Amino acid sequence: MKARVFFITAAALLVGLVVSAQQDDDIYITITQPGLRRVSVAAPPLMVLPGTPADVAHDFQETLDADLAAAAPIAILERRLYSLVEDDPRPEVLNERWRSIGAQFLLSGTVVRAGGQLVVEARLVDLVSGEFAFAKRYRAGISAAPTVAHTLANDLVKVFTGRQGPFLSRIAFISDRTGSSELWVMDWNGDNQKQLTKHNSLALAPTWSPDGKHLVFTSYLRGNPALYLLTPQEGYLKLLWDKGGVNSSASISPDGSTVAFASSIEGNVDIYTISIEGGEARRLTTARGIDTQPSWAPNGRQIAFTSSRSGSPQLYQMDADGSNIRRVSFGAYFHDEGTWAYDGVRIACTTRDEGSFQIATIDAISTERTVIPAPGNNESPCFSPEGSMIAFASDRTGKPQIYITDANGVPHQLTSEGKNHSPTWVGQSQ
Amino acid sequence: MAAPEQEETPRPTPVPAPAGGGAGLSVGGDNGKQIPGIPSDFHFAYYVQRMLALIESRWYKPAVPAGTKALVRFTIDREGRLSRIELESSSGNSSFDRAALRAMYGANPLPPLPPAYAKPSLTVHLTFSE
Repeated sequence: MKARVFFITAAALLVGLVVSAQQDDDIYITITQPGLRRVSVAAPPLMVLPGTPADVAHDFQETLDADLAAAAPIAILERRLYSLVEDDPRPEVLNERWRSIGAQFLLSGTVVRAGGQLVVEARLVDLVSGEFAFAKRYRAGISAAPTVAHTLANDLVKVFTGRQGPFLSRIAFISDRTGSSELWVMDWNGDNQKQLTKHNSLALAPTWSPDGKHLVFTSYLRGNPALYLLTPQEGYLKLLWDKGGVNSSASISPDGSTVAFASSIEGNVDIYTISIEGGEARRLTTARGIDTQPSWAPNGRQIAFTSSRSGSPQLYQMDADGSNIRRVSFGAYFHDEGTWAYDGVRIACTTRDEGSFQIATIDAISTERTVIPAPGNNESPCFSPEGSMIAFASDRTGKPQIYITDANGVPHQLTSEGKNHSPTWVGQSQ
Repeated sequence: MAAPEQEETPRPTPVPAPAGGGAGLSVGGDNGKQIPGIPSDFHFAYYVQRMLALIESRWYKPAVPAGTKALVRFTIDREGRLSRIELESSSGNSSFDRAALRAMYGANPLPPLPPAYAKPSLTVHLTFSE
């Protein structure tokens, strides 16, 4: 058996590799220090072939550019540098020229109309080896250019993270732009805002099922605040829980089977669970003080919640059966609205900081807290499905509006009509 | 909006290596004529760097004496999914061992294996060291 030894130096890492020629290759590596660096990608516009409507090609490229600019693992190399790369028929020479302006990868490809369809071919070349890191062909209706761009951007993120990007995800929220508080939905970037309810009542605190098929929210439709389940695709609305008292702050378990919520049905506000099919509720908390805003951990075994049991609102965590309660927020007198990232490590929440509400993240393992200071009041955070962005409501320009901060920490305002708040974010529906 | 129809484009034909170069890891089984060589011959350095970064970002090291080392073995399939995650050699400190295994569970799935890598899986022996 031959053993082959390579040594590669990767940034600050010294990586030793031993490859042996068995049925699959074994490699030996040592890691010593943490860090997640971005990869530098040159992404000149894809080549538009003759016969492709200019507006379709423009829609596609503009959407792709905006997605890649927000993609967490990717740093798009500045376009003005691209003109410094002189063309050459020899790939190894051309790749070297791209590398000399700082690119590690080059995205290239074509956009063409074939029949009534849009066909996009995209390739990502590793400029060090000259090998493809990714190559795929997409075909869709000519009007679906933005969807194709989002799909490609998602796939490019997966090349570097193992998980699809967030660019086909959707954010549901509450808006009063029509005169009453209704449930709305939009794409991750604020496109395609659609009204989901026309109840002329008061809708509050929506939450997605993890498969993106259902929303559970609180509505005063029948007088008192009750829980409803909406299936937007079918326009189907079902009363889930209405046994009196205030019922709010629903959160659906990762397997989609169980809804946790806060209810005052027995007097004090406590946390209960109920099957997504309805039926009897089970009480999880019994402490004095208010227990509310449950949020399922991605593993389905824990629930974070807000409790005033120690005086001021703080975040706690319990097992899904209500046992093993421990506090997770420290360092300020106020924390609420805790929601998990998919990694089960980070919790986003709202805290009070120098007189205003601000978003903070808490590491559930170390309980280390990071405040994200921003103008105005910033509340109701939730992570994007793959954890690289946070959506929240902010009154920094007057009325509350939905914002996201992308992976670069850059805020994007997604809404502007009426008051908009209570975002809930879900990935692409199955 | 329905998802666009997608297909993997035909797997790129490996470009014949220029003189002095090599096809890197693709040499393992079906292409054994390639001679292993210098670092630039390893065609999937980007993948290894990315893999390490993703695992490191999920690694919560407990405080242990310098020189503590645990060896973990795992197999990556073409889609990036991990299997056979095993402690190959204990550090002698169970919390350090568990932190290494947890980093692996947290990093699953890794990115899909490079399309030009012809084999169905890759087995990695990873040393976590303090």
